Amino acid sequence: MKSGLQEFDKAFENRIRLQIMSILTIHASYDFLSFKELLDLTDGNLASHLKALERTGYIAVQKSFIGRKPNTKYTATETGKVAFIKHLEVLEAFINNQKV
Amino acid sequence: MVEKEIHEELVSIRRIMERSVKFNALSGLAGVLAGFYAVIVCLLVYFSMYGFHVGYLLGQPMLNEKEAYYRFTVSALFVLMMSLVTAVLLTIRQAKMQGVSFQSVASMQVVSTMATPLVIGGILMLALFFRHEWSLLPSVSLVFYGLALVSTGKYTFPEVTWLGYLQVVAGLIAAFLPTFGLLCWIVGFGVLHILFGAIIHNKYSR
Repeated sequence: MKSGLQEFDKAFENRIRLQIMSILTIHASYDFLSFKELLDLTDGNLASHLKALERTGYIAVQKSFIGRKPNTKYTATETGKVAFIKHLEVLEAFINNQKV
Repeated sequence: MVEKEIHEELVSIRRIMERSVKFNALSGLAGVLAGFYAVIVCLLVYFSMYGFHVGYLLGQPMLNEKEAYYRFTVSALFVLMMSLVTAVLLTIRQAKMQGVSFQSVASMQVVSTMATPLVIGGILMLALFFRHEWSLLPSVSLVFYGLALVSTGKYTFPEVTWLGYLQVVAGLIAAFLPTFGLLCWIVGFGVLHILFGAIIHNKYSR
């Protein structure tokens, strides 16, 4: 069986990272607390996934303060958006191959 | 099975994307109540001025127009305030029941999308008011409110968009037939709100 699995992007192996990326493709930027609430994750868990995506260069981080509260915003980089779309295409192609 | 996993992955992306954009805790009940406030207050003001003579609702040029529009404007502002308070309170309650935050990226999108046309329309109405163009007030308020709803529908229930289009239509009719302005206003802010509020409540809040 021919499989496209090798082409799968390792950064998106984890479903949560894929979800983070999908949110950032429709929102210009999204902050930590909103991610936490939407994805229903603990601080540590979310932070580690965001860190991983940051390391691959798929997302960028901007830290600032609102009053005294830290406000960390994330945006998808061009590389990240391209990689995300490519990943979706691979998934699509894989599903289409299975059907035939 | 890999295929099933991929499928689940795609479903989860879709759901998350939708949840991050759409605010679905708007309260239909608030729409119904706002509609009732509008109808009741408007009719009270009308009857207090003209008794049970309904002709001014049905195309007769209004007697004592200045005084009438002054009273209607003041009471409309009162209706607006009551409706806003009701909408905020009931939406907070609904959000709590659904376990979502009413202060999310999506709900802020709803608020900011609503606010832009409403603020601009409000300033335009002030200008009309001070220039004594009262007969255009019902029309302008319906058109701008309708446009606000049309764009807000993208971030919440699609019914909101339809309600918006109907409000705009009511407003445009009022612009061409200013003697029916008050009636259009009652139908737009009153009847349509009650109708769509009930639809949204039945469809989403049960």
